[in-house]
Parts: sequence; C-alpha cells; structure tokens
Amino acid sequence: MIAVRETDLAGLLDRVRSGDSLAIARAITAIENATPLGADLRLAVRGASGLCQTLGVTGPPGAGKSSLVSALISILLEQYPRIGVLTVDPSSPVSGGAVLGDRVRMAAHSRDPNVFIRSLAARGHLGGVTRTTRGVIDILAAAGFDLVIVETVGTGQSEVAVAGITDVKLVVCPPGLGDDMQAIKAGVLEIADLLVVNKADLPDAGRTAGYLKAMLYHRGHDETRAVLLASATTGDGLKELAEAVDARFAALGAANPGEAHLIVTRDVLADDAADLIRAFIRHADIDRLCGTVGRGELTHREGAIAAVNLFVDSQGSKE
Amino acid sequence: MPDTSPQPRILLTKSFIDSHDRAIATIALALRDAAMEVVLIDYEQPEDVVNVALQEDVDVIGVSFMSGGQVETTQKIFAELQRREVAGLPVVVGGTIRPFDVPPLEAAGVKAIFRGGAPMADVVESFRSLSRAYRGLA
Amino acid sequence: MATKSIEADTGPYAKWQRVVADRYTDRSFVARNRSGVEVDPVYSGLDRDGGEAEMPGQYPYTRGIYPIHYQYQPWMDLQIIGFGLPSQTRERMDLLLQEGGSKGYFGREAYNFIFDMPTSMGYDPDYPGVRGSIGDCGISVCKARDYEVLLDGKDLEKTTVSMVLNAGSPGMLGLYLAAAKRRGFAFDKLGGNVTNYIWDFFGHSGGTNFSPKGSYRLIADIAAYCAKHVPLWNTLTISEHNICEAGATNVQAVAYSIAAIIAVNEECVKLGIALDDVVPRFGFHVRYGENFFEEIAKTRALRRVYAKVNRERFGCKKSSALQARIHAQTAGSLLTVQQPLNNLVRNAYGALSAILSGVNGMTINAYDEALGLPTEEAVTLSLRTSQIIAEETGAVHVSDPMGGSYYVEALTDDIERKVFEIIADIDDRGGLVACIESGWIKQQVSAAAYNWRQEVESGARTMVGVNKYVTDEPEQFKVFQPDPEAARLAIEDLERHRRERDDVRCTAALAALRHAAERVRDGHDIGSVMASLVEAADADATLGEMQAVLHDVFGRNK
Repeated sequence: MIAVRETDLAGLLDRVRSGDSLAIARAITAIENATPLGADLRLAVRGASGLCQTLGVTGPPGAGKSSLVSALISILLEQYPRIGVLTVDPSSPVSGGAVLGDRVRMAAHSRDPNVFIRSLAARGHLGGVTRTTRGVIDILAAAGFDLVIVETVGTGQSEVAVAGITDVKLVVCPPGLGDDMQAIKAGVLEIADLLVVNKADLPDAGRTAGYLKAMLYHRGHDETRAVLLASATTGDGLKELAEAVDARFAALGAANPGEAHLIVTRDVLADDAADLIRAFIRHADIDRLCGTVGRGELTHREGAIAAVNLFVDSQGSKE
Repeated sequence: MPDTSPQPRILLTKSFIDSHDRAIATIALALRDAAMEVVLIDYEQPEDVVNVALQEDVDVIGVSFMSGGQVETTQKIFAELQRREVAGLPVVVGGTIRPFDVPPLEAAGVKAIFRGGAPMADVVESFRSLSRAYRGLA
Repeated sequence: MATKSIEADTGPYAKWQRVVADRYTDRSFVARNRSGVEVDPVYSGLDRDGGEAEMPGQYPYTRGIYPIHYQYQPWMDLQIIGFGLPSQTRERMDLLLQEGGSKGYFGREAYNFIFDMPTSMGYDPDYPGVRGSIGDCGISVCKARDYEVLLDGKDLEKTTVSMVLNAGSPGMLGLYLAAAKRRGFAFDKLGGNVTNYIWDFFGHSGGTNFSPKGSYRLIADIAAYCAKHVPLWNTLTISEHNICEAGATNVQAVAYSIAAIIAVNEECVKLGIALDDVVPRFGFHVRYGENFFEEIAKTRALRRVYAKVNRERFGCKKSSALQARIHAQTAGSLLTVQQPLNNLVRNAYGALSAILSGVNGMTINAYDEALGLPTEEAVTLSLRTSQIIAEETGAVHVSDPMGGSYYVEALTDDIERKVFEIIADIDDRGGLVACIESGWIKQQVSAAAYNWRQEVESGARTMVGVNKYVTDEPEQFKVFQPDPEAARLAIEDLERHRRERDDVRCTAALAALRHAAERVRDGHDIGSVMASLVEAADADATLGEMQAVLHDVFGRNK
C-alpha cells in the first residue's frame, strides 16, 4: 500500500523505479502540488529524462492531436516498449479548476500496462506548468518509460513552452486555411521539427500541406523539417509519421552524442536552484528570519537575500 | 506552498456505448467551476475505470448510468479497486438509478447516489468532501 | 363558413381551395364547436381584416405541409417500445395494439422500436463490457431471425416499422429487410424508417459512431439504395430532439439540424445522386419541451427554413423534397424523479404544442421514464394523452391554429432569422463536419446545457417539485424491472445462432460487404453497401459482425 499522503521518499522512489502505476501517479501528484516530498522527488530524479526520448505534440484546438497521439502510440509501441503520455490542458482562469478530456480519444490504451497516460492541468502560472512537466518527465523516465509524449494545445505561450522542453516537436494542423492557420502562424510553427496535416482524408489537406511547405521555405527554414500528411481516422500516413519521428530522434543522437537528451538550460538550473531553496525553507533558521521580515526589520528582498546566504552557509557546513 | 488545498482530482466516466452525456458534461463543468480538476473518459470495461483512476491519482470516481449496467459495472469496479490495492477510493454513481438498484449498489460500497434533479450544490459538495476525506484533509 | 373577400383566383386562398377540391373531392372538413358554430379547417387574414397570406400546404410550408391535416389524417402514434428479448417486447406490442395504440396511417399498424445501447451502437450481446446493458433500455436484436420473432405473423406490407438507433442503423435495416425477404414480402411495399443517427454531433459516444465523413457516405448509400428498391422507406431522421436533449437551445437545434441536411445533400450531390430522388425520404425528429409557444414557432420556422434551403440552395423541385416531415417527441430531459405524476401534465402540454405545430408522428414519453423503463400503466397513459388531444379537445379541427397570432408569427420570423445566421456562421467555419471535428458544436451545446442547469440551480427557471413546491415525503412508485436473465438468454441464443449457421456462406457475404464498402468509400457503386448488408444479414451475419466491417472501412468518430 502507498498512503494517499505518502512521505517516505526512498520507499516511493523504489516503487517508481519498479514501474508501479500507483507509485508513479502519487509521485506525479506530489510534484504537481509542490509538496515537500515533491521537491525531494524532483531533485532525486533530476536529469532522468536523459534516459528516454521525449516527443512534444502541439497544434490548434480541433487539429485531432489526441486521436493522432493515440494512433501513433499503437505504432511506436513496437519500438518503444513502454510509453508515457502527458496531456496538458489549460485551467479555468476564473476558478482554477479544469476539465481534462483528452483521454477520451485515447481509450484504446485505457488498460494497456505499457502505456501510462496522465492529464495535467496548467494551473494558471506561466512557467509553472513547464517546471511541473519537466519533473513529471523525469519521474516517467526514472520509472523506465522509453518514450514520453507531451501533448499541449498550441495556442498560448505557456503551452508552446511546454512542448519546447521535448527533444522532438511535432506540430499538428487540421486541413483548411482559415482561423486555425492564423493560430499556427503565431509562433507555434517556429518550434516545429515536424509538421503533420492530420485528417488527410478531408478535402483541403493537400493544399494545407503545400501552403505550410511554402511558408517554411519563405521563412528560410532548413530542409530537415518535414511536412507530412496523416489521418488518425483511416490510418493513412501514420507509419511514415512514426518513421519521421524516429529519424529525428536518431539525428539528434548523432548530432550531439552522449548528451543528446540532457536538456541543461538556464531554466532548468533556475528551477533546481529554486527547489533547493524551497526545500531549505523548512529549516528552523528560516523561521527566525521570517520573524524579522514580519516585524519590518528587513524588507522582503533583504530577507530573501539573507535566506540564500543562510542556504549557502548550510551547504558549506556540510562539507 | 505545500498541499494545504490542492485541487481535488475527480474521474467522471460513462460507458462507451452510452450516448447520454449531458449530465456528465454538466457536472464536469460545475466541478471545474468549484476549482476541481476533472478527468473524463468513456470506459469499455469496468477495469479501465480503475486503471485510469490510478494513473490520474484521482480522489473520487463518479460513474454515470443512463442506459443500464448500473449494478454489474459498479460491482466490477469495486472488485478491481480491491485487486489494485486502492479499496478506499470513493465511488459515487448517478443517472437512472432505480429503487431495485439501490441495495446492491450500497452493498458494493458506493458513497453517494445522485438522480436527476439532485441539486448541483449537493453534488459538488459531495465530491469535495469525499475528496478531502480521502486525502486526509477532512 | 364565412364569406371571404378573395383578391383574385390566383391568390393563396384560391389556390388552396382548388388543391383541397382536387385532392379531397367532396369531403367537408367543417367541424362544429360546443356552441354549434361551424369551424373552418383553416383560418387566415381573410377571416378578419387582414390580407391574403401563405396557406397550409403552400411553399415555404410555414403553416404545415398539407392543405388539410388532422381533419383528414391524424398523426401516427408511435409510443416507444422495446426491452429485453424480442419475445418480451412482442408481448408489450400486443398489449399496446389491444389498447388502441400502434395505429399507423390508413389502417396500418405502426411500431417505434428502441434498442438497448449495445444494439443501438451496433454491438452484439457478447461484445466485452456490454453485458450489463443487454435488454435494459431497449430490445436486444442482432440477427435477422430476431425480427421473425418480433414481427411473427404480422403482414409487413401493412406494418410501419420505425427503428430508433445510432451507429447500428445500417446493419439494423439490413436485418429487417433480410427478415422481410425470407418471409416473401416485396421490398417496394415495405414502409417504415431507420433513424440513422450514425454520426456524432458532440463526440460523446467514444468512437462507436462513424467518422463524420464516413457517416455522410453511408447515409447517401442507404438513401440511394432505398430510392431504388424500398421507395416507401424513410432513410434518415435528423434528430433536432437529440440535439435539444443534449442541452442546445431551440434555435441552435434547428440550425444544426438544417446544417446536417446541408451536409447530407452536399454529399449526395457530390456522388451524383439526384436530390429529388432521395430528399423526400428525409425527415425530422423534433423535441417539444418547456416553452409552449417557442416549440410551435420553432416547428413553423424549421419547415420554412428547410423548404427555402432545399429549393434555393439545392434546387430541389419536387414539393415532397421541400416539405419537412416531423416526428414529435415530448422532452425526456424534463421528466423528474420528484413527484413523477407531474410528468403526465408536462407530457400533455408538450404533446399539445406538437399538435398545434402540425406534426406527422408523435411519441409521448411515459411519465415514469425518469425512474426507469416505462411500466405498462404508464405507456397506456401516454397513449390516452394522445387520444384525449385527438378526440376530445377539438385541437384537430383547424390546420395551423396559431397562424396569425402576433406572438407566434413574430417568434417564427425571429427563429428563422437566427437560424440562418448560425447556418452562415457554420458555412464560414468550413461546414458542419469541420465544426463537429473542431469541437465547436460540442462547446456551444455544453455551454447552453450548463446555462440551463444554472438557471434551475438559481431558481430563475422553475421546475415544479424540484426547485419549487417541493414535498418531503418520499413517494413509492412501481418501477419496471427488466428481466435480469435477458443478458444470459441473448448470449446463449447468439452462440446457438453462430453454431447452427452456414459459416462458409456467412463469411463470403461479409467479404462481399467489405468489398462493396471499399468501393462505396472510394465513390463507386453507391447503394451497394446497403444491398450487401441485406445479403449478409440473410446469410446470418450478425449486427456486430457487419458493424465491424463498416467501422473498418468508414472509420470511427475519434
């Protein structure tokens, strides 16, 4: 059994590493809720994502991302025995709640022990969801998943940023050259390694693909980006899409062997540093500091700097 | 910062062959507006419900029945909860629940039954308090 | 009859008079009210101080599709019927007939079958995970033989069979036609309808329905086949009712229904099918609910918009291709568990608004449907409601009795205008398929449903017995309990069927079905899928086996 509010880090990590669904789920919740256990977990599995491949899937609402991901999973399972999927949806800005419905389209994998799907709500704060998603990918990688797919709605900045933390970015477009295409123009295209026009069985798909190719060409993008046609409904083009994804992973590995998947960016370092400080905030010395800030003897900024100094001192005393 | 009030996570589900989704869609929106995170699925087999509930780490499972299967499906969900070692996860049911369905549903362990016309405030409060109790926050 | 001052013999009234004289020869449709005053079969501006205007039976059919309506031919009572096994439903059919129900047009018998959810979606009883729903909210049917039980001894040439179901529709029609063929009935004498709700406006059936594109192709195939071989069969019912029940407003529901007709018509045109051959067999299923006058206005607006769209946008010429046939049903979502007898009253008002709208068929729900499957007593009371309106109230003496009401006419114009606005919006968004696929329709409807609910919660919308005039004491009502053995019996029967059939013939027929489906998917031999379904059903293929082939070829809604 795992307690609903588990606190045993080592025990939980062991069960995560053994691939236990419930342990993985509880670890993800701890990271989402930024509990003390969650902070410890993040640091314990930091960098594990280097062990697996990550694929970001984004695109405008109605592009059929979830159906396409579901169909892709069936094919990619041949190559990646265990696949994790994160579907990120916006939270209501008013209430903070969310309706997470992407899984409805992934019912084919509802009882496959080799597919773990988790719905994440963006919970409002820009950057927060990126941070959470990084931590969750690490958990899934530590649990032995070979491939993690992150699906987001490609309309807002934060959603694009989430897709941005993956190794290969796939942008899904619906056929048609209307409003949806405007949404794609506004930034999502820039991050794409692969573009796929879904619902290729509908009219306009070929025209849309041609339009996208022309747009990329005019913007001077290199030829390694590809525009493909696929249909989650008929299955056409899915195999080719899976091969293209694979080829991108291979190209990444060749370009930067050894460190192909390790994403070390300023953001990650900043996140980790913040986690260290957050974990330290539970320290007793901080309580005294809080008192001085509370009484107005120090400004908040001065208090924060004092906290960082306390943290640095505590690290020195460990050595 | 820590989980003093994390969003309750709820799984709402109905059978894949049941086309009546007005109730479940409306309740999903009401729970969203009450600051909860609601995962929706259509299940093929009752076992799917538990597998998804585990992966999503939800606090409450709500199952809608508009076209049959009330007792048989619910019993199978409870058996699977037991097998997957999460017997404490609360389950509520709603929809067309007939008088003769009630005794076996209660015997299986459902925490609440909602029929048409149940005040939404009661439904929301029930999910909230079951979630808090499950997380030990009650 | 008052003497009217008629403008000229080319005006609407004179035309109407000529049609009535031609069509009904010497019959008089003048009734008398309680005071002994003669009541004309229709009134217009001429009866007071207004001018001539559209008359019933005249384009664009705002006032009804017939010059004389119930005075000549009452509506068809189609109480929903179906539960358990075919043999169990047959018992209920016999009871209904004995009570004066099941009356079709011109002395025919008529049955409105509803199927359990597995059947409705095209799954056999042994499909994993469906067992708990077998026979629970409708009949379990999966083979042609089931119709031989259900309709044993019935003269199918004198029986109207209405089949209400979703994705299983094409295969279900195959089963029925195969059963009719075995019993030697000529297809061109068979009358009835299949609803053909095989696509999914809201994406709410988790992939059991067909992809929007596959749906429209299949609907065109069935329409083309029936136009040639089963000409009296109504091949498509657009369910305004279901869209409303999902929570849409009346305006939205009418607009989406018309948008569906537009999508089907466009598909037919693309495949080279002459619209005048198939459109006359399309119809509507309309909901009658909480807003008495709006229900009437929406029906009148629906008829007008339908006529205009088919004539002006699609160039239909036959008058039958411009006339919206309407099957009415009272609103199931208004039925309450609390104080369930109140539902009798709600249903009666819903039914009356339908009758005043001028509809062709009528389903009055049973008052106890919120509690479970209807009891025999409740079904009989629904029938009595219809009989009281038809034979006691005098509401049937005059066509379009609301015509000319300032309120209803203004509301009709208003709904028409808003419907055309939504249709233009859908056109701008790339058509109905694009709007379904992008989730736009679902969002619109969910938002409307949520609004409605919030009005009930806040008390802004009254539901008697639910949020007002609430009583405490729990009431004990008899609730129908379906046979718990139905699932076991249905599965055993299916297993026996599979053992005893000629497997070689069945397998060949399913292979032929796949071939035809692929041809039709690619735009050839339209009509051959339906022909192959009849052959496969006759070769003892089951509904689920045929559905698996169709799903494979035409794609699921994902």
